[in-house]
Amino acid sequence: MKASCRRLALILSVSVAATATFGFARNAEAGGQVTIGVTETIASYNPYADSISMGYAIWCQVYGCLGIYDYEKGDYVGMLVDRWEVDKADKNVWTFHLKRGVKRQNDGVEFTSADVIHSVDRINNDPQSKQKQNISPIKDISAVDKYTVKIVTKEPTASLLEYIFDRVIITAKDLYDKHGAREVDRKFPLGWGPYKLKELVIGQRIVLEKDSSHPDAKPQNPDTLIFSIMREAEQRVTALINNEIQIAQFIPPHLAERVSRATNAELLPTSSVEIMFLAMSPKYKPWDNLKLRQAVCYAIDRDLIIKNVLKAQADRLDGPIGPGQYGYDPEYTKKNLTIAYDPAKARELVKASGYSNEPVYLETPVGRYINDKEVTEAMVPMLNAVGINARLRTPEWATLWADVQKGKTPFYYMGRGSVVDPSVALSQYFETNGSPRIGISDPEIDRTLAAERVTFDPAERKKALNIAFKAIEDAAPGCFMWRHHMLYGLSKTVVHKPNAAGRIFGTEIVVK
Amino acid sequence: MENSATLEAEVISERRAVRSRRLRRALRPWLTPKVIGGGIIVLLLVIVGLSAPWIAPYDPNVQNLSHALRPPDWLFGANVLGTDALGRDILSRLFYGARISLVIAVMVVIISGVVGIALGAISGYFAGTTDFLIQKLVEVVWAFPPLLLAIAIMAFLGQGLENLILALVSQRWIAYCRVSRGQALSLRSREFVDAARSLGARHTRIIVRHIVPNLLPSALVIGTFSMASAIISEAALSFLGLGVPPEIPTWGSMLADGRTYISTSWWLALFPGLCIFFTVLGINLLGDGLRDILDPRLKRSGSGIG
Repeated sequence: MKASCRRLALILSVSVAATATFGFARNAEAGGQVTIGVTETIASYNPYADSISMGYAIWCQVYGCLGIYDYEKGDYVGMLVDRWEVDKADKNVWTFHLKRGVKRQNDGVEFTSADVIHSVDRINNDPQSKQKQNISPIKDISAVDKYTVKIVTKEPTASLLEYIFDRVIITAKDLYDKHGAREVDRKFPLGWGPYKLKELVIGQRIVLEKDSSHPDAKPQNPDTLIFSIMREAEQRVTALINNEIQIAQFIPPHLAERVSRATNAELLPTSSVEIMFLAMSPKYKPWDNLKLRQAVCYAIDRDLIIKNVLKAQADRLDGPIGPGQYGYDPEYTKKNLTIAYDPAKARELVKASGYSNEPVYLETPVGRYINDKEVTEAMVPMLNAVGINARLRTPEWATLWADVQKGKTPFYYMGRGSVVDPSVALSQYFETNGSPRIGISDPEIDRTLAAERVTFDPAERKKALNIAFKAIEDAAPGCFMWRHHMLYGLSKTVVHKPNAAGRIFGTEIVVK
Repeated sequence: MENSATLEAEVISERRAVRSRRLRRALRPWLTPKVIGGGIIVLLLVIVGLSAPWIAPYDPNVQNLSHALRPPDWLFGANVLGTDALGRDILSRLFYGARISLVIAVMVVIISGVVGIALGAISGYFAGTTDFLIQKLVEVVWAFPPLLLAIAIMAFLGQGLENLILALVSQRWIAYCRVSRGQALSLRSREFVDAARSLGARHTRIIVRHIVPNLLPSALVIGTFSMASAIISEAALSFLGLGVPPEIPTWGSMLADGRTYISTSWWLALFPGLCIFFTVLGINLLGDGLRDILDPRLKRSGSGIG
């Protein structure tokens, strides 16, 4: 009996030891796999069916896109495009020279101008497409030859690259023609990017596999990249500390210390180019009242919220953009973009607006942005204090996002990511027919945004942009709040420098 | 003279003793640990809920951002149970949360009880086609998982106290309806119903005066269990962000808010969690006790209600 007990104990200890050893060994060997805890999800196999920052980044590294903004260089660099130029005589004409000999994953079919034209057509005509705003400046697109594409814009558009570079996902024409839209997205998601789509479980995970034959894919980049959807910040941090994930996106300020204390991870801060704002749609009452919209902007004490709710992990926005974003002029901002916390002025504006105290509902996502519910909860008493009968609503993200995109939400808190050159974002939200998200139609905003787009000289364009900023501030369809300091939790087994847009590319991750 | 006075005193004393014995006999079944324990907790909940405006140290919605996330200050400090991420007093929010939980639970029980008993009584009393139609409706509604149906209703109607009550009532009336229908089927052929009918009483009178009163003891038992499940469902919906609007403090939404801070500020989630736990425990104990007294058959059958 004793002997059998001893034997059993021995077997158990060996099993435990073996499990522990191989368990750890598996983690240590997991150099080929990097899992990222992210907050967003991809809603469809169709790369054009949603317009979210993470989606563009994922599809861009699977299918490929024309180019990306290189935050190190501070300039646009080609991905599938080799070089590009604007016609000096006619600023509406852009010529893009494509890279030659770029082979598609699995079947090696070469990338050509036909694929670019097909992709633009699909964005325009696909019934599921939610990316039409990205090609809104384009009047015509044609192939000069197999490797050259000519784009003619409706009007000179200096910010065209911001519109199309990493936002027009290039999909294969031949596969689409052969299999049709539904079949091709689900069964043949093959492109010219450095990673292949291995698995997509909507709402749970996206698994990419490195295409080792791709020139941008280096041996030290992860073989498998898993975007695991973890909406809860606690979940992301715990998973990082337990070595279940290697990168945790968007750590809220109150959990920063927990990551810093962990022996296996570090905290990486990066200034974000995502602008956070309150949107008020003049399509709905009482937001058709300019004075009331302005009152909202004066009523919010952004510094207090940044200090106490965001624990100083954000920078206040005076105007639509801040330092590091294209067109930011500190002098002009200081002199002209002057909306500051002024409850007395807000109260006067509310009184002058003739607002009849009907309830207004501020809608916010929960868990989509850092401390989003808390910051909006802090805003409500500030609005109440100046005489605006504001109440908070917290609809589920998918519902809120769908309603915002359709222009059905009168008053909401939201962020606009990847704002390097603000032209596109400002047009999308504040220009007539830019998108239904706010639905304002203001001649002065339209005029100033059009003016900045047609200005190609960088110095002049910056001036024109600042005039547009002022027009937007005066019309107050939105109140600009802050840019978060994005905190990333990074396992010590990987090297990665998060970029300001929050987009994660496998080719920018090195496994130690 | 003295004898008759003594006799009278003895009679009075005997009568008192008899009355006291009767009272004790009547109370004895109620004095079980379940009823006493559960009753005390429920009574406490009612007292706290009703007196929240007077006993809460602060307005539950007043924010003090510079006092955010303060830990509990047990020894009669400014914030005995600490503050949340916006500097609101947790204790005050718990007191007001009790109020909301109580209002929701009571409203859900009353509305679903009225609907369920009425439909059950009609279904059982008339039988035949009426019974068939009502029972088909019951089966259709019962086919949906309760929380899923409530989530769908809230997603469709939006946040709001009335919508939340409607969402919770949507399936809770079924338990009342099924039990009432079974009892009404048996009552409809009893002598007192026949007697009423032969005296010319109309159907409405028979149902209201003779059938429904006999359904109430079972409904009371169902009501207590239903109350506990309504509190849990409200907490679950608020936890998912589909409950009442954020400006109304509820235990479920406090728990949901607290989970974000669970590793750094434990008090945010612990106290509302404990409140839900003890309230549901208390109501279930009371319900169990009432079931033992009022409808021992349900105890024997082990019927899961609520």
